[in-house]
Parts: sequence; C-alpha cells; structure tokens
Amino acid sequence: MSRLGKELRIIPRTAYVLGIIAYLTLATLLWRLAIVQDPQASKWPPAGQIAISYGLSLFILALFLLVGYVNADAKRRGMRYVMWTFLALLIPDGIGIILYFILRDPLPKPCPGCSVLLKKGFVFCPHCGTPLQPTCPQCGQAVEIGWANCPHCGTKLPAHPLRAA
Amino acid sequence: MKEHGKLREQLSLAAAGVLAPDDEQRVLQHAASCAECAAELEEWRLLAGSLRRLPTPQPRGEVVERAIARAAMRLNEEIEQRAHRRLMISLVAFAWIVTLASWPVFRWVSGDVLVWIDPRFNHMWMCFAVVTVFLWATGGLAAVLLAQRRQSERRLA
Amino acid sequence: MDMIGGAATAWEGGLVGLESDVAQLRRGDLDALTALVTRYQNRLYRYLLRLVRQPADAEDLFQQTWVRVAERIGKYDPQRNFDAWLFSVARNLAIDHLRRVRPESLDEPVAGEIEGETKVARLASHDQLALDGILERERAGRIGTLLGELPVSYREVLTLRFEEEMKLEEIAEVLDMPISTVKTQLRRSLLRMRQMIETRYPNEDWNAFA
Repeated sequence: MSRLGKELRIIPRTAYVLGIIAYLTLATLLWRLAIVQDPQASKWPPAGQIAISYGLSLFILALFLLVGYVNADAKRRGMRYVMWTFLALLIPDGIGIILYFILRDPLPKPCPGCSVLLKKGFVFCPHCGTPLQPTCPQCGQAVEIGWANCPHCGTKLPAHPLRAA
Repeated sequence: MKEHGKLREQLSLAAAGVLAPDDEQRVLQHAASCAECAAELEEWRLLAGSLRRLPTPQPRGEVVERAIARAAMRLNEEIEQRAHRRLMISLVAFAWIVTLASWPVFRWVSGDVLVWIDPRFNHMWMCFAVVTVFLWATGGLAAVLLAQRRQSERRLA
Repeated sequence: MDMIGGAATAWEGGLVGLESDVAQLRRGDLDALTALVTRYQNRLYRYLLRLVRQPADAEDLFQQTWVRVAERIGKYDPQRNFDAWLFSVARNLAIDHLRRVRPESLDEPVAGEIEGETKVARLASHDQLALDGILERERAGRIGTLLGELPVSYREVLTLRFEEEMKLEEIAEVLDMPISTVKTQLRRSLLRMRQMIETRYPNEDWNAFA
C-alpha cells in the first residue's frame, strides 16, 4: 500500500484546507440547522445526529481531496489541468472524477539517453535523438517487437534485427 | 505365446520407464525367461540411454537477457492494469455512496436552509434525486463508451 | 543415507524456492522473474529447439514464451504443476509459429535443415580417450540428427520423456492428451527411431549408440 501512499502525497495542500473547511461547514450546517429543524430527524438522539452530520460530511472532504489529486495528477501528466479540475469539481457525484481516471494520459517516462521526462508516444527523443521504440525500415513509423508487418505501410518487418535495445 | 506378443510391445515402454510398477514387473519377469525379449529390452535400454545423454544446447546470454527485459516490461504493464482496475472499482463504489448520501443531505439542507428562500424548496430533494439518477444513467453510459474507445485506441497504438 | 536425505531436502528446498518464486512473480517481483528465467533457460530453449529446429526461431520463441508467462501468470493456478504449464505455453507458441511459417513440417519428417549441429571430423588418432570422446559426440550427433528428422509429434514426446525426464502425467498435461495416447506416441516414436537407425546404420552394433 506504500504505492497508494506515494500517490496520495501529490494532493496539494490547498485541497486539504478547502476540504476541511467545507467539511466543517457542511457538518455544522447539517447538525445545528438542518437536522434540528427537520420534523423526523430532530427526534433522534443527539449522538446519532452528530454522527450522521459529521459522518456523512466526510464524503465532501473525500471529494475535495480527490479533486486535488486530479489537479496535481493532470498537471504532472501534461494535461489541461484547469479544465480537468473544473470537470472533476462540477460534474456531480464523482462522475467527473471517474471520467478523469478513464481518460488520463500515461505518465511521462525518462529518456534512456538523456534522462529528460518525455510524453509517451514519442518514437525518438527530441533532445538527444535516442530511439525509444523500434521503427519500420521502410516508413520510419513506430512498430512493436514481435510484429510481422508494419501496420502503416505494410512492409514485412525483419524478424531479428528489429529488437529494441 | 500370446502373452509374449503383448509383452513384446511393452518392452520399449519399459525401457523408457513409463510403465506402472506391476506392468513393469510382468515385463521384467518375462524377459528373465525369454532370451529374445531380453535382448530386445537391452537394445531399447541402449537407445533410451543415448537419448537421455544428448548434449543440451544452450541459449546465448543476450537472448536470455532480452527475454528478461521484455517479460519484465510486460509484467509491469499487467500489474499497472490490475491496479487501475481496482482503482476504478473503488471510485465507482465511492461515487455510488456519495450519490446515496447526497439525497438525505440535500433533503435536510433544502428542507431547512433553503426553505427560508422559498417554501417550495421542501420537496426539492425528490427532484434532486430524480436528476441525480438521470445524471448517473447518462454519465455512466458516456463513461463506459469513452473507456471502450480508449481501450481500443490503446491496443492499436 | 545422509546423502539421500540431503539430496531430498535440497530438492524439496528447490521446490519450495520454485513455489515462492512463482508466488512472487504473481505480485510483480522482477527478481523472481530473473530467477525463474535463469532456472529454466536451458531446458526451455532445448525444448523449443527440438520443436522448431532453427536456433534463431527458438531464440525468438524463448523470449515470446516468457512475455506470455508474464501476461498470464495472474491467471495461473498455483496448484498446477508449473513445469507443465510453462512447457505448454511454449508449445502453443511453437505450434502456432510452425503453422504460420512451415506448415508442412508439422506432419512430414523433413531431412536436413538443422543448423547448429557440429560435424565431427574423423581423426586418424590412436588416442583411445580422444577417439572415445569423438565417437561419443558423433553418436550423439547421429541421434540428434535422427531426432530432428522425426515428425514433430514424435520429437516432442521423446524430448519430454528423455531430455526433460518428465513423468507420464506431466507429458500428458503439456501435450493436452490422455495418458494412453502419450504411451502410444512414445512407443511409436521409439519404434520409428529404431527403424531409422537400422536402415541408416545397419551394420553398427547397438552398443555404438549407448
């Protein structure tokens, strides 16, 4: 679970702050104003009222933290993080957050030649030119190890020399 | 004599060591008394021996290294996929719980806070519930379709 | 007696090591992967080479097998025999390869086309030891050549039984055949091998192949 721990650490502090404020606001609002004036709920024992108010409101804290994660994660993946933060925040019930996780770009990986972080999908490093993937000898497009033909130009790929380093 | 014919067929298997113990016993017993079968059994044994002693070809070091490298990459991918699946399931479960929890919360809030704005807000929570169900239906459908498109894109990439 | 006990524990230790390596592999441990590949490298390569006969293809399939193992280790049932599973993965890849590249080789015995077999020069040496060594390699070379000329199904069952020393049940699992069929195949392949020897080298003493 340390991997999860590492991931959670990227949540910006602002998210925690806003989240706790929202949590306390909602919980107090629920308890002091809403439940107290509701015909049914006001009959519950006070411990139950507090538990419900402060328990249910935890979800809003979780939502704020998730939105914070979306913000930081989208930024490090080179995505449009402002748009995604808004989507995650405004589409209700966490659906925006789910959408983000489905659609997010892969993490950038360092170039084996010059160690600069590069987006996935690049075939050659833009800084040092190291090949990052095997390519078709005819059209130069990226191919994968083990393919027999190039999916772009159709040439038969040589089986053995086309191994990645 | 028929026994001799049947057992003769089993001689090669006996030399290969694949007969059940009692079958093997029978064959050996017969070979003890039958010179023809004993000679043939010995020939099978010699053949089996030379097959066993074939030299083992060895793979080149770089082949093994590259095998490890490629398999390691694939293994990491599989682990990632598994973690991703677990994440999505947790998020969906979380979203469902939030939806369900939001109904009573909205009811209370609308019933007591928003009612100051307009008394009609008291029954607002039912509309809210309907709206969220609708949102879930369409949003969920959109999410599934997008995920499918993403998957097929990734496979071609 | 101590030796036997020690060997038994060492073998058991080997088994336990294998189990833990496989369990670690399922969790994504790369050291376990390296350990497993190293442990099986010779055996797996030998099996693939016997099936496809070309070292370049065997090397390619060797890598593909391990990639597929990495892919499918999540679905592997730990109760199952790992050796049999590994070899059946390799076998399926090899059969697919043969179907694509050399479909005729799946049925007919094909002569020649075996790379990587060293030819031993005949020396007029009187050194008995050297001669024995050369004869041994030549005999082994002959058996190896003959093995390569058998049909695939015969080669398979012979290599699994005599080179891998697998039990009948394991061979049946790898080949996905009932045990009785394996026995029949084994008998037929030994018979064919023997017929080839008697045809090619009719005057040789059987001891020459010992």
